[in-house]
Amino acid sequence: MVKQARYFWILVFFLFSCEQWVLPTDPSPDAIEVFDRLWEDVNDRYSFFSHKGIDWEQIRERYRARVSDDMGQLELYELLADMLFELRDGHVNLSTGFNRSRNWEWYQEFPVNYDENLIEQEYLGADYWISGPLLHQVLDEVLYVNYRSFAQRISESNLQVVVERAKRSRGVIIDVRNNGGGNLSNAVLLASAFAEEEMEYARQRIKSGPGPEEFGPWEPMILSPWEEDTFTGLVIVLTNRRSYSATSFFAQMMNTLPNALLLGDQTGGGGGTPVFGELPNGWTYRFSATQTVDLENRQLEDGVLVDLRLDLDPAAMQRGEDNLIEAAISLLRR
Amino acid sequence: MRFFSPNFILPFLLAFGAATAAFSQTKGNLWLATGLQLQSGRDRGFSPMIYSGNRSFSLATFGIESPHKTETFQFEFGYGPLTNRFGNSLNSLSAGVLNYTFYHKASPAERGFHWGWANQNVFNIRRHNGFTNYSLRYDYFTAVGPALRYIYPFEWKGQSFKWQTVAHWQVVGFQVKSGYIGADPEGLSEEETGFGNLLRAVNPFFAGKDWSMGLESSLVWTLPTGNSLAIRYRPEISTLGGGQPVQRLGHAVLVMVTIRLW
Repeated sequence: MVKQARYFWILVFFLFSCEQWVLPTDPSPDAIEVFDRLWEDVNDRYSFFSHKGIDWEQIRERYRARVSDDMGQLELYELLADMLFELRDGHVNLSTGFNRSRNWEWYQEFPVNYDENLIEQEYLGADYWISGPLLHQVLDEVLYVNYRSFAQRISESNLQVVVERAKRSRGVIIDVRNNGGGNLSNAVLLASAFAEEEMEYARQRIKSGPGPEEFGPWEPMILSPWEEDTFTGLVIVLTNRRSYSATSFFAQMMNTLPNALLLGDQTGGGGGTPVFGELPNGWTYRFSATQTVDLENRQLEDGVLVDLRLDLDPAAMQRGEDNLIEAAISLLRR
Repeated sequence: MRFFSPNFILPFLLAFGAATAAFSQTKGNLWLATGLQLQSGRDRGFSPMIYSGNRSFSLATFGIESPHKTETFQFEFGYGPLTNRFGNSLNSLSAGVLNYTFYHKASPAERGFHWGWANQNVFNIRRHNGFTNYSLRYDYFTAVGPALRYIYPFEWKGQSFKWQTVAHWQVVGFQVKSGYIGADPEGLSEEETGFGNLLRAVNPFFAGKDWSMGLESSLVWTLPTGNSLAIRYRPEISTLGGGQPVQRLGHAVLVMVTIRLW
C-alpha cells in the first residue's frame, strides 16, 4: 500500500509542479510593466493606426522615457492618458478609481448646433408624448421625434406608437443631435421601422492579429424592415458633431434609405467598436478594434456626412427658433 | 397484427438473448457526484490577469466493466463566478464528456494498474461582467491520449474500501476557440459554406502547444448492497495555445454515490 500510494503522490506532485508553468502569476503592477502592457495591447489590437497615420512606435519612445517604477499613480495615469489621447479617438478611455481619460476633440472644436432648452420650450412643449426613450410631438403635421441616447432601450410598443403617429403625419423628423451613442441594437430597431426592403448599409472588419493590417474579412451590415410595421414616407434625421458611435451607425443606416436624408452637421464618428482590457494595477481601458466603412468605402470613424449642411443660427435662436427643425419641417411640407 | 408476426419476433428474441448473455458477463455502474471546484484561469483575449473562484461542479458517470476492459462515459458540468485580485468578475460555465477505456486482460479488474486511453471533450464559455463589448468568449477541444488507472481494495474495521486513481493526458485532437477580439473563432465567416467556415475555425490540438491532463482520486466505501459512497479529489490543468491563449487550473472535491445497475 505504501509503495502504491507513492505513485499517487508522485502524480499529484507532478500536476502541482505544472501549475506555475501552466498558469504563471499575475504580471507586476509596477509602472513600467503597466505602461508596457497598455502600449502592447493597443499596438496589437487598435484598428486605426494606418487610417489615422499614427506612428505608435514613435509615441512609445516618447512616453516610455518618462516612465519609472517610483512614479506615483496620478503621474502614471496622466502619462498613460496623454499617450492614449494621441489616438484621437472618442472610443478610447482609461478608467481608474479616480478619473476616466478621454479625447472629446471630435465635437469640442465644432459648432454645438443644439439647444435642448429651446427644443423643450418651443417644440416639445408641455404635452409631448413619451414612448420609452422616444420623445415626440406633432409640429405642423410633421412628427418630431427626439432620442437622446441609444443606451436607452426602445421597446417594440414604443416604436409602434411612433410608426402609428408617423403614418398620420406628412413626414418624420428624428433628432439625434447630442446623442452620444449606446447600444447598436436600438439603432437597428429604430432604423428598421423606416426601411422598405432589406439593404446593406455598411461593411465592418475586425482585428484578427497583432499586425497593423491584420483584419478579418469585410462583412456586410444589413438593415431589414421591421416585421411589425414600417413607415416609408419621408424622414429627415438631424445630426451634429456630438452624434457619435451608435448614432453614427444609425445615421449611416438612414443615409442608405431612399426615403431619408440627413440635415445639420456631420456626425462625430465612432466607427470602431471598442474592445476592453485591464492592466496589472487594476485599471481598465478600451479602444477601437474594428473598422466600419460606408458603401463608398468611407470610414464611419470620420463621421457620416449630411445631405444638407446647416448650422444653428444664433439669430433664429433669438427668435425662439431652431432653424434646423424649421428647415426640416419646411422640406417635409413641401 | 402483422407487426407481431413470428418472422419479426424471432430475430428480436435472439438479439435480446445475445445481449442478455453479454450483459451477464458485465457490470454496469452509475456514479453521481457533486461538489466544489476551485478554478483559476486566464484568457488573454480578456486580460493578462488570473480569474479564480469556487464553482459548483457535478459529474454523472456511466461505467461498463467487462472481463477484459472497463469503459466509462463521464458527463461533467461546472458553473460559477470567478474574480481577479481587483474584484473584476466573469461568469464561467463548462460542460464536457470524458471517456475512459482501461484494459485488464492480464490482471484482475478489481486491483492494480490498468493502462488505457481517454477521450476528452470540453466546452468552456465565460462572460466578463465589466466589459460592454466582446464580453463573451468560449473554447472547445476534443482530444485523445493515454490513461492510467490504479485500484487498491482494502478492508478496514470489517468494511470494504478501495482507493482508485485515474490519470489522463490528452495528446492529440482538435480545438476551436474565440477569435483575436470577438467571440466567434477566426475564419468562421470567411467562406460562404458552413462546412468550409467550420474547417477554417478548427485548429489542431497537440501536446507541446496545448495541454490537458488530470487526476481523479477517489476513496470508495462499498456498502453491503453493492452500492457505494465516495469522496473524490480531482486536479486538472489545460492550456490552449495559439491566438489568444487560454490557461486553466481546477481542483475539485466531490461527494459521490455509486449505484450498481446490474
